[in-house]
Amino acid sequence: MLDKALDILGWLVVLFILGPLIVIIGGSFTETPYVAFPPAGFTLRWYEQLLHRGDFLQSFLISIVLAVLCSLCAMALGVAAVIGLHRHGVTGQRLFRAFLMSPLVLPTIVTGVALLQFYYLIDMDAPLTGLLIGHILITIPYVCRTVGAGLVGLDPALEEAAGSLGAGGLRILFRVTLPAIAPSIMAAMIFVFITSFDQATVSIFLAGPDVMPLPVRIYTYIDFAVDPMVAAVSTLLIIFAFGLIALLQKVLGLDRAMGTGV
Amino acid sequence: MLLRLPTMRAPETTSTTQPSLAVAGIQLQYGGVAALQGIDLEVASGEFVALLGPSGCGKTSLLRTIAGFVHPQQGAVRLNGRDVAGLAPRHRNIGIVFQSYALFPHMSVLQNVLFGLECRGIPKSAATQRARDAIGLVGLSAFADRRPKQLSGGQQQRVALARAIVIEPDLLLLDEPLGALDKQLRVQMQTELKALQRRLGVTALFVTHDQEEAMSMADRIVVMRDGKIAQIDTPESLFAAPNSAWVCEFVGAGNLLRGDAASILPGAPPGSVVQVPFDKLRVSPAANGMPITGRRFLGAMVELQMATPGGIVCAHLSPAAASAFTIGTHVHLHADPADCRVLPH
Amino acid sequence: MNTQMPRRAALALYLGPVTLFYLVFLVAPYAMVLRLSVFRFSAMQLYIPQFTLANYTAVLTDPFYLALMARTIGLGVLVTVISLLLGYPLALKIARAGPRLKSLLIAITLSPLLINLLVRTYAWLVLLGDTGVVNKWLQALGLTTAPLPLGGNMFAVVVGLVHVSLPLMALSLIGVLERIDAALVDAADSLGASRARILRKIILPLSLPGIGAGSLLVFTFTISAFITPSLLGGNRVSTISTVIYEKFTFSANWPVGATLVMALLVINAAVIALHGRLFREA
Repeated sequence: MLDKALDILGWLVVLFILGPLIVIIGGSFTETPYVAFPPAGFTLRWYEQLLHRGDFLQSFLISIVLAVLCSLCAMALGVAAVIGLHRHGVTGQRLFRAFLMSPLVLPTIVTGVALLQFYYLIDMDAPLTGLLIGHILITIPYVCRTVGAGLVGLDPALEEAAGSLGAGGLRILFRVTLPAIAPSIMAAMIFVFITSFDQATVSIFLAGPDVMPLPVRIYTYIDFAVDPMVAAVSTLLIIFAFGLIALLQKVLGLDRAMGTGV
Repeated sequence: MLLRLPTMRAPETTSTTQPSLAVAGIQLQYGGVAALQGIDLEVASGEFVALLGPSGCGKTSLLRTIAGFVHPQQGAVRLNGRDVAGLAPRHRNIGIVFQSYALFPHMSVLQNVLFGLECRGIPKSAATQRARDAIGLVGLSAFADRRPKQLSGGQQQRVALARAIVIEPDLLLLDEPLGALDKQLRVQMQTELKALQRRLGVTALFVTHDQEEAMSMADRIVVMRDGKIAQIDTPESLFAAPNSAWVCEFVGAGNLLRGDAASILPGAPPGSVVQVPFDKLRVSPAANGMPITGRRFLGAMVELQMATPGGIVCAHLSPAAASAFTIGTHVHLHADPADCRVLPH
Repeated sequence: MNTQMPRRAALALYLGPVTLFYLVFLVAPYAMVLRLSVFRFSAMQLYIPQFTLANYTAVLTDPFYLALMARTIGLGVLVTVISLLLGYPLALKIARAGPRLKSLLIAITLSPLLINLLVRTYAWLVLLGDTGVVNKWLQALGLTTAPLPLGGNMFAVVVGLVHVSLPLMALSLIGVLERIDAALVDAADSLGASRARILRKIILPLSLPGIGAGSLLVFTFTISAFITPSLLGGNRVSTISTVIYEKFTFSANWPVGATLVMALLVINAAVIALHGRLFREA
């Protein structure tokens, strides 16, 4: 009885999670000027309309550029940090790790406000750089977490063996350590890309009228109209996300990719 | 109130009544793989029976079938005459000692032992008294408020036992109960477990892959192989008269002489295997014989090993008699036909 | 390893860049914002750098701000509880499922995390509006005649936040539930425990660390959420986050905004500390 009830509730929750996304995907093909589900008729005109929206296309490109740059920078800073911690235990190591993870604990909106104020005070007027810094800041913890977990799982004897065979520090790093944790690095990279690409809260504060990442563009758009064109954008983004999930699954396995542990 | 100890029920007196546990025609398949193929077994009340076999032989599957965790495709399980095949484990009144002990980590020793009594709706004070008695019975009164993590492996094992017997089960199942203990403790626990089982008079069935353990504790041993029962017998008869070469080898009941069996036992059917107990194989020096390849001191006796074309054979000699032999000595082997048994291959 | 650099130099090389980055773009901006909270507000020049506790007095005594904080914390508690009640059966289901169903369910559960927050919020906007999908269905089925006020209110905000929070909660729970030894359930079963008793006495207590971790995650996420309340609340639901946004943008009262930032950080820290106290053993 109880098991049955819990089981049914579990399925309802699955429906609750997926339902809205299904409605959006279905609604993006509707012929009505509002999102209807099941869709009334079938048309691709909302997708077509999207092609003529230069602002959405530009925002999409900005988001991609931002996500790629952010992945590279966050990886460089984050991987160096966790490898440093892994190789040379520092006194107060736990505290430093907590410091590295802090952007994850601090409210994103506060980080956005703080950077906004900071840029204002130092008179910085470069929205793209400003956005990039914000994105790097909030994605470094993901790198530390995923790559850190990979390093924890690394057999220390591997590096010791390389050392005993005469390899120097740099050679060990590039020939042994980094290749051994390559899957974690790949997973972290995808993770950072998604996080940056989807980031809205920080971006809302830092975006300018000419440099508007896609989430901010959608935010400002749906504040004034809820038409099926956004459903079309959303559908494309859902497909994009599932592509990335599949990639993540292939690279590392989902449950491991989502696993925690610094 | 004392833990109600049933008066000693000697196994032999129950032979006229129905068996405590009766298993008949069990067929169990996991995803197309047959785990149990037609198991029939009866256990008398108060009897202590071992399920012995190599890993994968189905002994744990049989235990889990009796407990009710798995449901066989065919066959019946009766407990004291009651058909329990359709019952969930919680309605079977079977006490189980798990291999990992499965003690609830968030409960104290007392709470662990109380759990089964609470499930039965026994009033708190009576239940607590019974739980304390059971904990006393396994000698852990001083540890009643500890958490399982704060106990040694042997102590955890006793808690698991107390938890299983306090519910006064119709049947006690033990899954490799001593497997996680070190050798010395294991031998001590074997004696204790056996004594406790006799004192409570509870019918018990335990799974083990260790033939010494089975021999030292069980009234009867069920030897299992490939989902079937190979032989059921008392330890003594099993040792003296294994019904197949495989059982003989598995329980270590002596040498198996193949091929040249006829030379030792005239009249043995061709292709048969001859069982010769280790202490009945005689050795005499002979320059044209086979060399001794190994020599082990076993305490009361010395084991000599010889490589024959049919495999390694062993002879157990007294230390005095063995002093004449060293590795490399060439010997002849003999056996009195009266000490040899022909086994089907 | 004679070619290795001196330890100090190596460390500086590894940890230097990220430390510098954090100091400049995290520590300094936070310090600056928090400093604003003790400055005097000025309608003409945004703020006057003069020490005052007036902003704190205002936030801690003004009924508007007190109600705001109470509402935000209440929202956090509500969303956490609902996420737990919905996430637990889902996590149980996933933990008990066979390997194939399990990976499918995990993918479904996690997928919202990888789908743009705006998309998810937009979906609820479409579903819950006065002329939205749900109201259309209800009317088509003849259950209601006039549209129910589903959107642009607290209800919509709670639904949206629960939808976003569920994966976080489920994820925390799946981890602990999977680590519960199956033999414990068998043992309880053999001792005569019903399914309900096993759930209450064995599984629930043993999954407390996951409940704690998931609740912490969901609560801190919810009280600082901005996009979801701002869009689904239809400008009628204010939380600390939406007011912070407003203070730093339209109304440009930075000192009070900074004080609310402080309030949000303090609530966050308090909840983290509380969690640490409750789950120290685990």
